[in-house]
Amino acid sequence: MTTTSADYMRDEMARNAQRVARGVELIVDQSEARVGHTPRQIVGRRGKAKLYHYPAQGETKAALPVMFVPYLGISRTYIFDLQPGASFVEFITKQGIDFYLVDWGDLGPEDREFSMEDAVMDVIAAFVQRTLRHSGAKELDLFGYCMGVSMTMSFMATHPNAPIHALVMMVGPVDFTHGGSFGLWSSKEHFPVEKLLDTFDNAPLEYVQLGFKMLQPTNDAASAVNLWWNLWNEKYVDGYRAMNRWSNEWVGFPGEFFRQWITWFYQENRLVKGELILRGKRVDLATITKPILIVAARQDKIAPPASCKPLVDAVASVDKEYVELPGGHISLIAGRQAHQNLWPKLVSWLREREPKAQGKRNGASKA
Amino acid sequence: MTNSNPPDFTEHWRQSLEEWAQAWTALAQPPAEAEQPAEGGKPATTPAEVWKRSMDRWLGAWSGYLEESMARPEFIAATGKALSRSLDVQKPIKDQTEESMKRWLEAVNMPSRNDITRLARQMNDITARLDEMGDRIEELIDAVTAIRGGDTHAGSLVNESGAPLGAGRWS
Repeated sequence: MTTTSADYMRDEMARNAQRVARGVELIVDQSEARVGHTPRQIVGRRGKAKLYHYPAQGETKAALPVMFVPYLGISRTYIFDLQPGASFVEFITKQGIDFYLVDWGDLGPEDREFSMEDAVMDVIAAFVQRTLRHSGAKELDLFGYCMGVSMTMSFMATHPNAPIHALVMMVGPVDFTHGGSFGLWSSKEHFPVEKLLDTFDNAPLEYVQLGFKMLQPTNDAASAVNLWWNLWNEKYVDGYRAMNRWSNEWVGFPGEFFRQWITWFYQENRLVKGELILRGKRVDLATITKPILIVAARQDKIAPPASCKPLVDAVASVDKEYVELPGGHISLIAGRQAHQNLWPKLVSWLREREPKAQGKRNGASKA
Repeated sequence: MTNSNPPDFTEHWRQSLEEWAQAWTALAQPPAEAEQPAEGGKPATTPAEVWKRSMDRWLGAWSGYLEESMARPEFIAATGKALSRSLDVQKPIKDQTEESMKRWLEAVNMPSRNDITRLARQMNDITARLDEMGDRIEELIDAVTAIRGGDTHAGSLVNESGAPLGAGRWS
């Protein structure tokens, strides 16, 4: 059967009618998109930071749990469990893996003094213990995401005997001389970080937001065009609403942490140079020997591949792998494409390294 | 990381207009000619698809151009200077407003923003200490269980003699 021009015009008009109807629905329906569907419970706290447990689903349970350390501040962690079918957490737990997510909490002016040392030496250390206790495992796999990579690598270097089995480091800048636009904008000569924090308690959200908008200046317009184009598609609109909610909810960035992040990492590049010192301990990445998978996203503007890849040479691990996938900083973890690309790769990499002798853990876990 | 060649907007417009014209011409032609039976019997483009492609390309071109402009040293120096100057203005205003507000709130027996922040910070500290104590108690329970010969889980938390192993022992 052939389709004529008239058919196309009719189809297009029908689609436009659907777009208008759905657009009106979208404007009228002011309810928040539902996010974070996977069942979870809080199993640990340290100040405002919380450790969430997402129990493994399915019949076979992996030998080791995973503890996931994301970025601090900026945005909410439900991006990792955005929607059924597009949820990293859902995918991982369905593979029989117990998933523990660190949520740094809503940080306000009272958290102005919260520092990198507090995050690495107190919170991550306490949550590793908590994960072991709760899961009943003797070791765990540690995941870092974005600035969580710098934090987990700092933890590993300052706690060489920590019972960590393997490391998965995703889209985390390590060599900040290749830090992309953020690296250029936050240069010592031009970015008055001390003055900024002298004026405000924390890094002002509007400034942080502006920085992210400037990374992709036409992103909002492109999202609007794509929304119009796909407005007839209910599934797309649901995904858009969830993503839109996430991208408009910003979380404070503690002043001291922000100062350290900008000066120590972006301006002085201490991590990769081996000059970072946390509570008197030097962070020497060359002391890290655990198996490690390093993931970068080709179109990542926050952590360009050139800033992630140097971790491969910086660590002393014999078993190490670097993967560069198509996609951006977020689409790698929250996009529907991630299902086909990154997530299965992560699981198979972990499975290949699963300790044979330990076998299956019993399902019981302690609160 | 930046494009060496800025996008050519004139060329982009020319291509878009050509495509747009072709798409409309194809639709306006009699069905026999307009039917471009490509794969699946669907014409290669419709005006709507051309519009979408054109918008994507247009936004992409602008994005590349703006990104490149914002990576230039002149832009970085100018924004840095603008930020610094705006902070020079904001700080005294902010300090003065806070001070006046504090005095006014004191006069009406109300806590200031700083008072509330201080209280919240103390609450934070107390919560963190409680969490830490909770963890210690659990470690001690494990240690006692080990001494009694019971089974402790998460072996990394106690050593062979049952002494609690805090995260400090991993260092």
